[in-house]
Amino acid sequence: MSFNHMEVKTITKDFPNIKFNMDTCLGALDCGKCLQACAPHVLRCYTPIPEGKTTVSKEWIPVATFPSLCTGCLKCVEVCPKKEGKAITVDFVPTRLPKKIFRRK
Amino acid sequence: MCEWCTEHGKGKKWYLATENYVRKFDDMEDWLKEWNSNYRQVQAKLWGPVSAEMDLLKNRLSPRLEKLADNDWEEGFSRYHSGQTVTLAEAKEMCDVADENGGFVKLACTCRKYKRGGKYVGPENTFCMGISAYTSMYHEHPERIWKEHKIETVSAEQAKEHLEKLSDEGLCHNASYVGSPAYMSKLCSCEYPVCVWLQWRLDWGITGILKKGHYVAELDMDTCTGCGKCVEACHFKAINMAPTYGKAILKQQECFGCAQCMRVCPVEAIKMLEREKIPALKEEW
Ligand code: SF4
Ligand code: SF4
Ligand code: SF4
Ligand code: SF4
Ligand code: SF4
Repeated sequence: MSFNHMEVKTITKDFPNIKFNMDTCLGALDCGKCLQACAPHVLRCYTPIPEGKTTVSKEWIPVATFPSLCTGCLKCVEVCPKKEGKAITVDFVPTRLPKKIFRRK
Repeated sequence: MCEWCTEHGKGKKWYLATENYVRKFDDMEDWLKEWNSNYRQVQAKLWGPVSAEMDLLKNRLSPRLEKLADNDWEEGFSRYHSGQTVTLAEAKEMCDVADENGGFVKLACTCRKYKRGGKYVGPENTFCMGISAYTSMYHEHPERIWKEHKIETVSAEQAKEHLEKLSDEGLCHNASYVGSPAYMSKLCSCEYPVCVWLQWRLDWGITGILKKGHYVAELDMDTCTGCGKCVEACHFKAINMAPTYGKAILKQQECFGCAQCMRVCPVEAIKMLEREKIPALKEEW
């Protein structure tokens, strides 16, 4: 008896789509309220280097690093001072995710 | 001994070997060149939007992609910045070695800034201790260091006190390098999930970012009174309360060997064993 036969089956599951609008977002260094509101620490920020430069940019850009930990509580959206400008939006959208199924041989 | 010790430890643990403390940041020219030219990609890959895709991959988007991503990430982390869990006693031993080789700088924690944004950059957030390569970078290239880091030079005694205080507050310690284990860089005081290392290792299983330590905790259920202090102390989800026993149960496979549970146990029910002596776990890092 062995269990190492693996099958991949596609399932459709609601998966969070967390988006930042950098035109309205104040940046995580000056604001960062969404990061602090998220208990599972789905969000984080980083500093990119602008094209053609060698030093780190001063901006801190929020990103969703762990969408799989997001519960959809929307606390991040609630605390955002720029929610009218949709600086952060969280939608649960049906996403096709292949899932591993283990079967006995 | 883990592979880092075999390769870089000269018979000792890699984070206690003097050789890994004497190299200066300036010795790392090749690595620095690579870092500078790759910084944007590295940022995007390790910390930026790509990590959200990584999360999808980890959710089994495709087993083939998952494998690719794994290799990429393991490689990425071990080339840039990685570490291993140490006990407070080992951290203090590290302080002695570091004291003779460049000393210490206390700095605000990078991960907490990444995770919590603006608010967590002040001097009250000095959870990290720069040593060796990091100290030399601070002294020789202050322009490389973010101002928000609020760097402060401390003595070995102060460093030990600081670590002890953070340990009492419930943080666990990790030794870290930059570039390769030959360049010690920091002595971290971490927590889940704010510490990037812990979250990426525990939630994504990326072993390249944080290795388990050289010790494993063992809980003596006869002595245990079931007070639950150790459950609170463990950042690695290795202990839970078993209500029908009225005692704590420790899963050694999950243990990273930080010894925080041993520190908080009021009846000394927990002791630390050497990982090498446990047949099932000696290759588990
Ligand atoms: S919806 Fe809740 S869990 Fe998801 S990112 Fe926002 S605060 Fe975090
Ligand atoms: S709370 Fe809103 S404005 Fe502030 S960093 Fe987050 S998305 Fe940007
Ligand atoms: S590893 Fe821990 S102490 Fe070090 S920078 Fe990250 S959170 Fe801070
Ligand atoms: S069981 Fe104890 S030694 Fe092991 S990781 Fe948890 S707190 Fe640390
Ligand atoms: S701290 Fe000690 S006595 Fe309390 S539950 Fe843990 S092992 Fe038992």
